[in-house]
Amino acid sequence: MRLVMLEAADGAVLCVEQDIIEQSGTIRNILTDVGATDKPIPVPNVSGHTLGRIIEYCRHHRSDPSRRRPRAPLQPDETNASEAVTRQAISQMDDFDHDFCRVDQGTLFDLILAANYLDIPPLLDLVGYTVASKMKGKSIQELRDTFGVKNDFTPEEEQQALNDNAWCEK
Amino acid sequence: MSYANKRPGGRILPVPRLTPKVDPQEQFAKLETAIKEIYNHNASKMLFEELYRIGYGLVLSKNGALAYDGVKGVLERHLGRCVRGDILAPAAAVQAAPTPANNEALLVSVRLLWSEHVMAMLIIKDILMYVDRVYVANAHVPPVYDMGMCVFRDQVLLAPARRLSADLAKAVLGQIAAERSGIEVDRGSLRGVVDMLVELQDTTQSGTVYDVMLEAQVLAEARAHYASTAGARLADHGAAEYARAAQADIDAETGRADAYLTPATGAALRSVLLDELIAKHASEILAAGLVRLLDQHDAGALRVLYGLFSPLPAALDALHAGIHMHILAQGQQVAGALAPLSVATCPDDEAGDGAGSGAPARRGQQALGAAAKTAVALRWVQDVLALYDVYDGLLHSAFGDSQEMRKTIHDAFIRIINDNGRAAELLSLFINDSLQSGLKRKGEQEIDHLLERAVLMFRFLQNKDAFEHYYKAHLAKRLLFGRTLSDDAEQSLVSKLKVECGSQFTLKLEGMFKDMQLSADLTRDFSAAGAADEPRLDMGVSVLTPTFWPALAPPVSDETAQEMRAVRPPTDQLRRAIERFSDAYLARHSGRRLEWQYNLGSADIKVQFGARAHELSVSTYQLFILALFADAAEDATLTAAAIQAQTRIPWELLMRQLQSLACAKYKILTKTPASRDVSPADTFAFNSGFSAPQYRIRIPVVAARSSVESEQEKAASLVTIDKERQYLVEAAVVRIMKARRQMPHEQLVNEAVGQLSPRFLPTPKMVKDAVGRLIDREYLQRSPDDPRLYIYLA
Repeated sequence: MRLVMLEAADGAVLCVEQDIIEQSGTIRNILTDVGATDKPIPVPNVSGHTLGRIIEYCRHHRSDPSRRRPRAPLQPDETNASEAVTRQAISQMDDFDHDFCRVDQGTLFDLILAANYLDIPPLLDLVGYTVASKMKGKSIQELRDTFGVKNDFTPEEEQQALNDNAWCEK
Repeated sequence: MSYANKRPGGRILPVPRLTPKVDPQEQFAKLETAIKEIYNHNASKMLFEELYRIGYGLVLSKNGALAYDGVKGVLERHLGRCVRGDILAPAAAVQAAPTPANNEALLVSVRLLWSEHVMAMLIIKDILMYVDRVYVANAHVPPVYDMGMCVFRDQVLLAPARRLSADLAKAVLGQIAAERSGIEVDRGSLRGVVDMLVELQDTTQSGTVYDVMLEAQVLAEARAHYASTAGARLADHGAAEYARAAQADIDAETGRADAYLTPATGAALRSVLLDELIAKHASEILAAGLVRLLDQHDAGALRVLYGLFSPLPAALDALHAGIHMHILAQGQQVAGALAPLSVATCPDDEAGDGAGSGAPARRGQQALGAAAKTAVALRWVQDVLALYDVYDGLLHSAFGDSQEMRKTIHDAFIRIINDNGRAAELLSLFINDSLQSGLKRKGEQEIDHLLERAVLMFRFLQNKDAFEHYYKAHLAKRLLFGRTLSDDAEQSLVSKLKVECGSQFTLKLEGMFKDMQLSADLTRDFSAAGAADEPRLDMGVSVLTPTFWPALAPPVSDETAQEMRAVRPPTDQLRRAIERFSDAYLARHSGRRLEWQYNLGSADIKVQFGARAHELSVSTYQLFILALFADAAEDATLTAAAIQAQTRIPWELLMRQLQSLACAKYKILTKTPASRDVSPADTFAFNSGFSAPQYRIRIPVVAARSSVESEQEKAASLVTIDKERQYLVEAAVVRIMKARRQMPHEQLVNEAVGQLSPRFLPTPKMVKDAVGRLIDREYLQRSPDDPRLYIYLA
């Protein structure tokens, strides 16, 4: 089993077996085109800590072969299909996955960015779901507090936005 | 918006940004350089993942359009340069002079450009994978790879003003034409270019560029080429060569399609060729040589021909019609030999096997004896069967056992057989001959094959009831006179007939077999019981149930028939034997009546002629006559009248018997005067001086071998058959009317014909006559309102 080396943003080099890290579409892509090499693959927009967590995640799910294949691209009329796929992914989350997401927000957001860059759809679904459930049922101000978002609307802009989205309130 | 780690206490801290802010244009410039390097085969110089990140960054920073459209522009400019540099010149050459060399040059350069472009696009697609995943889906543009294909199509084929695609098509077509005329071309380049055209989608969205640009022209040129070929070829070649050449052409074209066109084109080419070479000239081809192929049984050529014709319905019909007609012609030829049968039979010698040719012939035709006529009849059956075997063989080896062809052949043979009015009789004669002597030296398989063929011919016969009539008569003679070669063959044939027609048909035939079986048992029991009584006499009796057996009496007048019943055995010894059997039989089966048919029997007697003894095989009548001399004195004489008085044999028949004993080849009795005719006063004596080389001598029996019927006999048979048919038609009409209660005339005729056709084909007149008779007998009546409607009277 081939070992792949990844170089994170802070210079940390992590080794991982090829079949584990092939759950990442980006890495798959790179490996196909670049082929065998001794040099580590630079991943400069993911920190070492985050990369490590992601490798843990992939290691746990290494025995599921469907994760190593790309998901079929969506056609414009297939939005329902994507919902179904996501819902299925959510229902398949186990205890490991839930524990995995019990981290602080910063790590969570790092994970989102990294999962997006590395193209790991199940992980993206998982973390996205986690964030979404944090957002669920909260009022606007509560959301601002939870996520540390500054209110940079002018009063007119705020009123405009409220009017535009008034239909949601019903 | 910024996001941050949440520290205990809820305070927010900024986090180092990992995706640096960079200038999009600068990023894109790097991408552009990279793409150029890819086309220069310098892919390994760059870092793949760095380029990937550039794409990622551009999309994230909402510059996806810059990336996508920018790449598109790069590709367009690059390809435009390549076309001007490498493609335009060869294209112009082809435009001016489409020689194979120029064509090849254009194809090679296009193919090279294409394969390089494909390789580059694969890499570019992977680099821009993030763009594909995120930007493309949202912007509703084609994925990067597809975009690259469209750019190639637009830059290379459609520019300038579609001229390049015309030149390319010209080059391809030119190569195909060259290959057709025997010049070798590079199939690899063609394959490459066609693959390219197949992969590119046409702008009209109706199919690939290949479909829209090239395929139609390929087919049109093929059609033109073969249309002219067909005309020239037909003039020179016969059917067989033409068919082979056509097949070779089709193989060549489909081979070409497999090598460097598409499978769909291959199928289309095949139907174009079939259309131009075969369908349009079907009747000419057949006229040019079908008859010869059939006569020569050329299965190979016929198979090729059939293979070419079978996909084309109209041509196939023409082929069927041609074969049908030829079989009929051959059948008529065979039937031509039957002409002598209609001429009156001239009498045979008493010996029964001479071919009489003495009698003056009518209309210059040679009149034949019965035996010779039989030979002619048998010849016909054999010839027809042989002809059938030929076509059965062809059906298998050339026509692929096609059901339709089988039907065509069968229909022709049905016509041939039923056109011959005597077919039923001749077939029965043929079977008769085979079972008596024809099967002598044949193996079991050959016998079975022969019987199968006979049954097949029977299936083709329309007048099956006529066949039954003749078959019964012939079978009776075979059984009674012990002439069958093989009982197994007989039984096998009857069971085959049963399969064909149902058991009702074979009921009587089986009855005859059973009677013979029972008689054998009876004889055995009887001789076992009475062996002591009469050691010099060994008698076998065949007891016949009249319903099963046909009329076996020779054609005599009614009063002669009456007299025949009065015949008695003249000596005591014989009389006792007869009576004993009668008593024993009637004791076993009371309520039955036995009527002795002495005219049908035969006997073997051992006669002492001076020092030598001979065994004579004679008829029962002859036995009675000879018995009179057995116990008499050696030189005793008897007049014919006295013989008649003692035996009571009717004069007509007695005359013939005496002639056979005294005037023929073997003179057992001496006759005074030694003339051929017998008059009552002639005297007969035992010829003790008789000698002959063989020990066992057959004195021919009066009932002649089965032969072709004379015209009178035929007329008599027809009368019998007709009477039977009338009865059957009436029965059918009654059956139909009883079920339906009332029916118009035409419908009744149709139904009756339908019901009766397994046995014979009734004419509408026969049905009408039957209806007339039934109305007279008040089974039916005409409806008072509508004279064409009949009503059943209960």
